[in-house]
Amino acid sequence: MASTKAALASGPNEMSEVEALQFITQFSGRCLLLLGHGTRGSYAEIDAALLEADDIGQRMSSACSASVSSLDESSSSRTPKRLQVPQQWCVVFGGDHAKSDRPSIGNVAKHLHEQWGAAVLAVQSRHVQSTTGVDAFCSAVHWYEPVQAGRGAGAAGSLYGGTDGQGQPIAATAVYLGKDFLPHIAGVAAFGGGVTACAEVAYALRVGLPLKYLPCAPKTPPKDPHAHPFGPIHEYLMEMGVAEELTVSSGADAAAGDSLDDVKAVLARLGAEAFAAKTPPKTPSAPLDDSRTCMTMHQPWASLMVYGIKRAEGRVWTPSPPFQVRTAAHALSTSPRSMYVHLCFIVYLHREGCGSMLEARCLSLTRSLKLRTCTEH
Amino acid sequence: MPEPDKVIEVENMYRTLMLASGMKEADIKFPAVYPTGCLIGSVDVPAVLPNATYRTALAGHVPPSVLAESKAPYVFLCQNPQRLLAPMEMTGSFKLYNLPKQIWKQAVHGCVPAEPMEPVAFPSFVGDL
Repeated sequence: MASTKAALASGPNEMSEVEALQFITQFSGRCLLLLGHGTRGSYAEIDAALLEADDIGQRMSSACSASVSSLDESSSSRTPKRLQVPQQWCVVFGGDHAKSDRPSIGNVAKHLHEQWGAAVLAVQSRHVQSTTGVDAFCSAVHWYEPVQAGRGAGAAGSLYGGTDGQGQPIAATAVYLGKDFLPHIAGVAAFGGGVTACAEVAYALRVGLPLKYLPCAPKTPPKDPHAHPFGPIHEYLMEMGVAEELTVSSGADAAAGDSLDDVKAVLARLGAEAFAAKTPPKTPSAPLDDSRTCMTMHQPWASLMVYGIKRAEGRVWTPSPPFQVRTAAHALSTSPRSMYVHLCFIVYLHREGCGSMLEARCLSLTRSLKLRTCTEH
Repeated sequence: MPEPDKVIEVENMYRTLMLASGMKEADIKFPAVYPTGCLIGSVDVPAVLPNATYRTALAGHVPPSVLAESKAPYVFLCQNPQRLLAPMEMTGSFKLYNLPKQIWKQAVHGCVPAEPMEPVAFPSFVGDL
């Protein structure tokens, strides 16, 4: 606790909402909202998130470097001395702590600050001000007044953020996605996330902010065994038709390059001998009743399934049991690669001075594809 | 169109599996085409099992190569494959959904049983797992 206190003393500028708005205005159009897992959910693979953050950092810093000199001159006259920071762009996030044992979106913010020179504004609840505070790497912090319990029916998110029953942003969301901040935010980068981030992404899409989304599994798996391992945000984007399903490791035991003996050893472990001794029936006694149920799959797995070559189809979700129906197979028209393009939204960076919109597409398509297998086997 | 590299990779994976389970190279046949954007056939799904159950409870009851196919958290068991002789163009959706009635009626009549290299009949207890 002592270290936190010391950090607070030397660390972030504490700002009222008006000051925070002034801070953001300096970075108007060069300000990215970071959403993701907190320390409770935490990242299972923080390295994958940091790799993607590098891409964002590279794009933001190179897009901003050209215009920053003129901007600094103009901003110095109207902003108080202590608000002046050397950074050229900024990230806003919920003030989660950057911990090595339970990495959160705070680690991503810290990385963007240390590696890519981003100014960091933390928007954190007043009730942690005197206890845990925020990390010292934050340039500024705004303490918002926590909302009381009872956000009304239809509310989404949590007490820390999201929307109320009327679909209006609350708590932290009311600050960084509020009507004052909104014109200055260039886009939202969501590195996975729980219910709060999910509600915030839904709101951001509703108000028309560009979104870049990277699927990130939380370290703490969801309580519901049927829930998607990438969390509610992934389920939401899937429902929206945005995120095609991605799995982390759904490959078969045998890889194309494995030697025959290796595969034989795998089969032996899976009961080859017992099966050979048994000679059970090779065709089912009776077919199941026809049903209109259909499932869309990628090629070549779809065809392999209806030819009887593929007899086990993996998914990261399960229908509610008992599931026992005849299922039609639909082959998806797009290849896995182009599905991923849907998932990587475009981040628009507003370039000050020249006034043009710089389109920053997800550069790391190929790199991301290596991180996550796109299709299910 | 599926990526040719991916098709070769997946076919090779299945070829290795089939060879390892004692099949002759000459008997291993793959689909000539992989059509996309269409309904291509159907299978019976007697159960969807968590991966651990699929691996352990079925050992000895089904060809072992079936159990080496998926590492995904949940596994749809597929038997009795039927393929549509003429794939029907349609757009897909997410997760599970119902086919439009018209397409479904036509599809039911247009299916022929596939002739799998290594057929499987999942034991009847899979529904209770």
